[in-house]
Amino acid sequence: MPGELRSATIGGLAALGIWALSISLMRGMSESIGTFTGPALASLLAGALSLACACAGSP
Amino acid sequence: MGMLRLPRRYLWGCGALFVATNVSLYAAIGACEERAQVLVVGLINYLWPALTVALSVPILKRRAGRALPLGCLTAAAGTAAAMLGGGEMAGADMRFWLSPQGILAAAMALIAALTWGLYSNLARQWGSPEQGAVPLFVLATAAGLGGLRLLRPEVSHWTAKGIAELCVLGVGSLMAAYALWDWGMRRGAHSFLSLASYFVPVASTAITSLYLGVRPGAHVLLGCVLVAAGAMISRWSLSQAP
Repeated sequence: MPGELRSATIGGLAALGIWALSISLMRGMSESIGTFTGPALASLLAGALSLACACAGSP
Repeated sequence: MGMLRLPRRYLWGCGALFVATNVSLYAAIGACEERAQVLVVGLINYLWPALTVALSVPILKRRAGRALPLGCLTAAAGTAAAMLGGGEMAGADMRFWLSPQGILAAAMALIAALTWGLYSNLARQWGSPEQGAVPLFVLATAAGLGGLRLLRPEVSHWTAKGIAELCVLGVGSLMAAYALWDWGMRRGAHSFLSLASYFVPVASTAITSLYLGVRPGAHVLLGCVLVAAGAMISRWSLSQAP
């Protein structure tokens, strides 16, 4: 398997692993930070970072 | 901000579905009284692969074979088996799922699965193959959840574990996983990854059980296998179209 094909496949598998972990993280956060507070902040963090990366990468 | 130049129906329509999926799933998980019920909510949410295939028939005009209803029924039977419970706890399980809170949790998880199935098809139909607007959708989700937080005040305990979970969910799940999946599907072994994705319900149930320290009953394991099998049969039905 060529290098990039293998790396990208491992990356895809890592994404599946992270998603499989999500439900437990959501519940853990719901029990401590709150059902809506924790996810709102997590989404804000993810959205802001993704947007910054997208803007940095765009011409 | 090229994202804002994407078609309006994609931005508003898919954006609304993305927000609805996430808000419903968080609400469903938060509505569970016990950690074991989270496993069932997770399985209801994992009806989305079968629903995505079923909804692609009317939306994307894809042709499916006769196995499609069988796949959807198998997945639905999996969630029913998980909800019905087993052994000594069967009565207690059913009492929760028939209570207003249980109905809310199950309905929210089902809405999450349905809206994600719609999003997956409509993003393909309305969106651009080169660029999406997921960062904007994630920010809109934050705004929606923040609004709900104001309407329904809750007490927050800022523990180190909670903050770590927040960071891993934000950076790992909502940001890195989308980018890694996109890279994997474009440059990696597409068929292998598609096949691997059917085992996510199984992996999720196993990881959630370990992380939350709950033992999945035989009914949850059966449900898990049926949900994964239902998704696989549904996908297979597309290649069996007459």
